[in-house]
Amino acid sequence: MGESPNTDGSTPHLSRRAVVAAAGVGGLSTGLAGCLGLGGSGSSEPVKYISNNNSPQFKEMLRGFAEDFEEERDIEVDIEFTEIGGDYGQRVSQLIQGGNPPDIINAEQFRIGAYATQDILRPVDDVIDAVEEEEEEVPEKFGFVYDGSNRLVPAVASVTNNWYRSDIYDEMGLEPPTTWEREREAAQAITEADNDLYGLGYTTSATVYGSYHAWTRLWGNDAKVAARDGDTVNVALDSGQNRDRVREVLERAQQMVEYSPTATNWDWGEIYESYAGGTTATAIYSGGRPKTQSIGQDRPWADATKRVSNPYNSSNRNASLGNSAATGYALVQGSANPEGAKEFIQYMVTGERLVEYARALRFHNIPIYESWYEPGSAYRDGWDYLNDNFDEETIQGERQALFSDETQPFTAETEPANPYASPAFTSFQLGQMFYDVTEGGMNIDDAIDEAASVLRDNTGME
Amino acid sequence: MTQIVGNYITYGQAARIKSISYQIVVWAALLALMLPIIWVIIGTFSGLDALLAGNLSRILGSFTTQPLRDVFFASNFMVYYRNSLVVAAGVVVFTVVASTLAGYGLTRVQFRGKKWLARFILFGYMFPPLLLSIPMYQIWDQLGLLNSLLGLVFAESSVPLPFGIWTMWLFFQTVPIDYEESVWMAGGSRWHSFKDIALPQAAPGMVAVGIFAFQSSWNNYTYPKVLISQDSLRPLTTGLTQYAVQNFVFWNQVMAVVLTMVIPAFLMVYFLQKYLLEGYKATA
Amino acid sequence: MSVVSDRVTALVPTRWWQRSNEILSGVFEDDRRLLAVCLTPALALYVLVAILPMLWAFNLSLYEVSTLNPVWEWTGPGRLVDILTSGAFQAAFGRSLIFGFGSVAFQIVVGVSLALLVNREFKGAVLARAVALLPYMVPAVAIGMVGQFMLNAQYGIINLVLIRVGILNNPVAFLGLPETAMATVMVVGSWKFAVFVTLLTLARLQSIPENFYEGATMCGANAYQKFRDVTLPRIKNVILIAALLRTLWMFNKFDIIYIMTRGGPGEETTTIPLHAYEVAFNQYDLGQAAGIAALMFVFLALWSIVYFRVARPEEEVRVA
Repeated sequence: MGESPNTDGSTPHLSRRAVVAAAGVGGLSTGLAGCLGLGGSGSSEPVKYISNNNSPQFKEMLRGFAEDFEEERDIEVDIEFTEIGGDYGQRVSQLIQGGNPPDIINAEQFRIGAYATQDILRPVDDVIDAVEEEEEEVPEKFGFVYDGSNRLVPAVASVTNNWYRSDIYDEMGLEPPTTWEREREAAQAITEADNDLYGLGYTTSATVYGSYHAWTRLWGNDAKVAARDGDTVNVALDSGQNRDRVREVLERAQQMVEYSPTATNWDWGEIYESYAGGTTATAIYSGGRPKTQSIGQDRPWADATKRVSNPYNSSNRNASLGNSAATGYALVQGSANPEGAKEFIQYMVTGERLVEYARALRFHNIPIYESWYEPGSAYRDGWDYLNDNFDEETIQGERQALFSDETQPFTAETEPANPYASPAFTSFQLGQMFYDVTEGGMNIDDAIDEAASVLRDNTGME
Repeated sequence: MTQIVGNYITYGQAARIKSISYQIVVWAALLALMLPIIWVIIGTFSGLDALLAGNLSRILGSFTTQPLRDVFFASNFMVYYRNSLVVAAGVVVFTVVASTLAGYGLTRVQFRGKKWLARFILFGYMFPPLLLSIPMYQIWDQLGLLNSLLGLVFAESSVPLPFGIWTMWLFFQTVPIDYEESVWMAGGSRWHSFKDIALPQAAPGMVAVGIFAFQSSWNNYTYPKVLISQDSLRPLTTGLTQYAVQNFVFWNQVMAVVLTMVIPAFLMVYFLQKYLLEGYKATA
Repeated sequence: MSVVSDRVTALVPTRWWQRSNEILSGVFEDDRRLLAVCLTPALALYVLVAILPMLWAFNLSLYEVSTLNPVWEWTGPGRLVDILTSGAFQAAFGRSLIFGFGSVAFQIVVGVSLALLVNREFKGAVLARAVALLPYMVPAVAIGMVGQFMLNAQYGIINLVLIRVGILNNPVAFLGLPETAMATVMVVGSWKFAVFVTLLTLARLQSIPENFYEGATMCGANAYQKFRDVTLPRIKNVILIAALLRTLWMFNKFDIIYIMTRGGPGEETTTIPLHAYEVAFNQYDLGQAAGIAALMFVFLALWSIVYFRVARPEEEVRVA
């Protein structure tokens, strides 16, 4: 795996610098860890892992990993499969409240903070060190540091892609939707043309995707949700110049929903279905599903599905454009076999297991090792699906977006990272704000105030 | 009207026309009620592409038995189905026994506060089950009933039980005590009068409670979600969500599973209808 | 019934059977012991599944507890006052009133009409009744999923048909518009539960002797008068009981709304159970969620007590 050179030597890495940067964020954690009975040691207990991917293919693959691992290391692994989304969090909290926490949970980077700020995650610095030893160094932005320690072992990532139908764009002589102006012009032209297509799916919903879309849209105008002031993190939505930028985004939202089907209750499923089903010509997505689904459903536009980054306002083009969302594994405090769990995580995110895992994701989520993107790498070599369906421009475009400053995690609005980005994300208040000013008929300033006040009440931000 | 009936058609014919037009109205109304089920049947035999394309003629032209075969042979469906049937049977037995006993006790034994006890039982319906899931998980863990079908039977029985007790309570009040008294006169014990007289007369009520318990268990989603994490012990309701994977729903497979859930339910209301209606009469 | 019990009897050795007969005879003679035997199974389960968890939740509502951390910190009953005065709670409560009472009213009207329709005897009446009762047997999860599928704005059959017959020009996202979302959820939810009302009403209708109607006909009563004077008084109490139970159940309804709308669009269908869910699992505040549920319980309990006083739904039994 390690034979390809790391093409960008300047990328900061997870294991060393991040730890230093974020030291001293929270003060609560050490006290509580004691009460939880940290580190039940006996490796006789099976490693308990709650997986959030329940597709038959993944079940089979993960069970295979567990069996091989058991044979190799003589540590039993017990995997429970739960549907992704609300059910997953419910299950995990039930086990934690029941005094029977799992060893390993899955988490996306934009969710992990909610767990970390409750001080229920074990540090995983040693796992990351061991993984980097075996593979390559992991860029810092894929990790999540809380209270001085890494809390997430990233496995794969996804990046904000604005997928568009180049067949339609070319036919109508439209520019790719890279800027606000181009996006709006194209959306209007496509919606008004006699082709049964809407320009885009401009989502204004209080759902996970609604949160994602809203936050991404704010970044397109360099507007921030949070700002740090020493040890406190403030809600920045409603203050100063930032508020004006939020207002601009919302004013534009009122305009853009005209070129979209009603998307007031859309979640991840609806946005890619609308694209793959031929209702919309553009879709902002975290990852590749609009394209992989178009391929899977044999759509004529599968090949013509191309990516650009999140459209931005040309007059405010300073910040990162989109989100880089790593997803991976975390260790829960108070579980029965943390040492075995660490070994199993390391086993899953290295070697041929990770290659198999990344392939099973069908380039929806993408590798966190830059060398894997090179033609001829172990990952790409002989993988027909990727090489047949994704042109080099798309593959390298995603890679460039993921590994450059063009994308950051939502936590990166503040320095050190904002641990409350995750509760802010899952509160769905940003999506709600977009809904309020469009279908909800609320005045823009009231909607901003409302969202800011709910975020202050519920997230730990001031 | 009378003119026409008297002169042009016979009274018998008029009655028949009236009866036929009444039946047309009934079946039209039922057809409207059944539209979702009809769509489930169509969906079961359609290709997923056609369903997602939203084109009616394509859907109807895409007849396939693939979804049914996928569900039956390529998923854990048979296991889910068996679990659902086993748990439903357990819930029916427990609910019927417990409700019948409680109903009999509440009618035949006089004690103070009886009415309030019966009302109090309904308080169990006043708390959102979702929030009870965390303590239930803990209690079931203590009892060693997690990931056990027996544990699920007990938990699910709690839903039909209050209504079952009410039904049996009302029903036993319509079973005249005179017959039982005559058994006592003849030297029989109260146990004999219960077993040989009261119970057979209460049979329709018991069947009604049984059917209610069956539908309640067949329907229950919250408890299996909380108490069952092992895939091989899942019933159909939580199994159904397994056909939605990573934000992608295999609609035709979902429809196929729903269809198989509807079939036993239909057989039940068709063949046990007499008892069902008898059971809820609760009248002298 | 007796065939079954005979079979069971035959399976058990005679001596045991005699012995248990004796024991049970003893138990049944004594009022107290009979009562204990009769009520214990039901009450034991009731305590385990309802009372204990409810006490736990009431207790929890007085503590500051994160969903993701098993540490409880006392905060006191002031929490409940905070919840009562919060805008989000009040809004969700208002929606619950609309959803709860609106659904029940709808279910009563549809359910009773359906019962009246299939009550008469005609060829195929048994099949018609089975069809009418069927929706009640279909799991709510399935209904939620099927409803969502049929109502989808892109490929849902309802939009396809409405557009084809010319009622609509463009697809309507019934579950996505603030004007239609709540009504749609209420109708889909009621498809199943109206039939519960049908079931109870039909059972009662079947027990009204035919000669009551014949008598009324001879007195020259028209169809409406027959309904008002013969039918209605006899189904009144059944409707009252059904309304009580359905109200309790609809106020706590979670699955069907959650599956179809997740409480959206915006918060248009966020009733109290969904609000509690959001607080617990999106805002990770388990203690507050328990407080919300506890207040809901208090409301339903008070409402039931008033209802028992005013409507006296179980009165019919003593009359009959």
